[in-house]
Amino acid sequence: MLDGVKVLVVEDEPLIAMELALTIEEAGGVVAGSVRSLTEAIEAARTTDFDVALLDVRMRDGTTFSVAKILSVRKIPFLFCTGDSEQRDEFRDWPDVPLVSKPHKPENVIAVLSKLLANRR
Amino acid sequence: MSDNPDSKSQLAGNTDTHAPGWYLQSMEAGKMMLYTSAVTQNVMQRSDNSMSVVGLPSHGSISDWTICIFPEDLPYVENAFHSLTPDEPNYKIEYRFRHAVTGRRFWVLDSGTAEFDEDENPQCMRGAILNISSGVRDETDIRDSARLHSIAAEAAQMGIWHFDRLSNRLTFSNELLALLEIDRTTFGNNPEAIIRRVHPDDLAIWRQERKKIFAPGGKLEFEFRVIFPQRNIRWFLVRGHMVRRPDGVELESYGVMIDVTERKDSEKHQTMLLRELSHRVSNTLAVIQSIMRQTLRAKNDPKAFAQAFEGRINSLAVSHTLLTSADWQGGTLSDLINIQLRGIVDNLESKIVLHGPEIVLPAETATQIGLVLHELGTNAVKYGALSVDTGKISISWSLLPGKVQLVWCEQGGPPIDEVPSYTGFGTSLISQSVDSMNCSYDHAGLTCRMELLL
Repeated sequence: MLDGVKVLVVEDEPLIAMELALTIEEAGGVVAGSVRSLTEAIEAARTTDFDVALLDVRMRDGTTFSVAKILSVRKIPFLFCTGDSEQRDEFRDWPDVPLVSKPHKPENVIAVLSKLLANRR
Repeated sequence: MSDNPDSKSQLAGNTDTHAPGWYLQSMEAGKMMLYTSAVTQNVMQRSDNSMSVVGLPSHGSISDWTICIFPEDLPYVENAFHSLTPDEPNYKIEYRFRHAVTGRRFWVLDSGTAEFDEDENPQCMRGAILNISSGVRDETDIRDSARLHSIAAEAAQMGIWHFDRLSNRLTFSNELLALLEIDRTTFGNNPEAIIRRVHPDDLAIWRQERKKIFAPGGKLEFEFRVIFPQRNIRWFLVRGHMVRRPDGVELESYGVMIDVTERKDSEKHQTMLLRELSHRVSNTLAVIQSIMRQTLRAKNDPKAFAQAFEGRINSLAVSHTLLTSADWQGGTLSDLINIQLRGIVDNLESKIVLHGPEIVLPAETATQIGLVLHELGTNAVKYGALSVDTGKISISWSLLPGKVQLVWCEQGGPPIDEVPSYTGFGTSLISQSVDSMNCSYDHAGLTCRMELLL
């Protein structure tokens, strides 16, 4: 499903990050990086080599919309992971970005990632 | 012309002003009493209906009148009389009076003229007493009522406004002006004074909502912000109402303005807390889901799964209990260690030694470290120092800038022939949760050194 696809995981809750990593690996993907803070995420978004990214919107040190901007410039596809608290209007600048809500279903995450990669090709 | 002066039925509806009793009947109906007083002789003559109007006989004294005047109003009344002069002999004063027989209290309008002698001393007063209390308010004090309203309005931080439609006059109460910090002399009762202060973002609401009072049955109720000279902003609630004649003609509108800044701030805070809560709940559910899946990967047997899963969920639960007791401001590291290991280890105090300064861990970090401690403790009970009676664990930590260094040191445990490989949840969680993890084994047992970023 994700044959060797390199994924960047941006998630500050370690257990959720672990779960995402396992989900990706079980689907044949590779975790190119797993970062737990906004600053690390911005750095990784600029410099790491990966094909697609998973962004937890609300991190402890801020929202990841700035990371999204970097990824748009690099033309790397990504999705947002959201909890209930995010309001619809926060995503008005990102109408085409798929949203996956927490707690996530592994099948759902893999499906969305696959679709993002298919669209790109 | 009537020949029968005693017949009331003849007097009823009789418009002949010469009919005997005509004056008294009319005065009775109008609650009016006439009098003349001789000042130096302390004599007061009253009209024949004085007994019913004020409870005093028609032949009496100025003193028996004065006794019925409210003590608080006496200085005012006496002052009014003493300031009369031949040039200005007329008076018209209002004061509170107590009916000499029934004790009922009412306001009277006392109007009349003073007559003076050559030495300009007042000799005689001649006038009329009118009961001006309305029926319902006989017992209540109208002046007091207005005063009480003013006190209450000030206490409630409530301003009152009134708009007379017929004269187009707008009036602001003193409390309203004080609330808005508007000077009466500078701005008076000018609505422009308020409009200038309305927050630009609320001007549209202000204009739109104000119109609602003109709709039939229209009521006004909306909130808006006011910017003060010192640039601070406060929220106000306006409520109002239009009074109409039965034919719909607008007579007047009136209402209140209340400072609701504290309530708005509190609402905003509450909204923020609810979002925070919602976020935490989502995260917690995701964490539980993650724990379940990862425990399942490692434990095939339902019983083993259940035990491991329950243990980990319990670890989350006790961390939460600790955090709740501190209103989610954080939990101390020593409390966390105790609360996590208590469920796993019997005779905790004899097996575990803690050593380190009191450190408060933020909420999320506490939950994660709690799981790590749970894992280390569970492993110690199963394979390590706590699996035998002689084993002990010493946990020590020190605070460095921005981080905590913690050492988990097991001693007196079973001899380790080969380094156990704990794969799966426990160690991967540990390595994910802490920022650097270093485990080593020597003849004494497992020692884990870790750094937790704060």
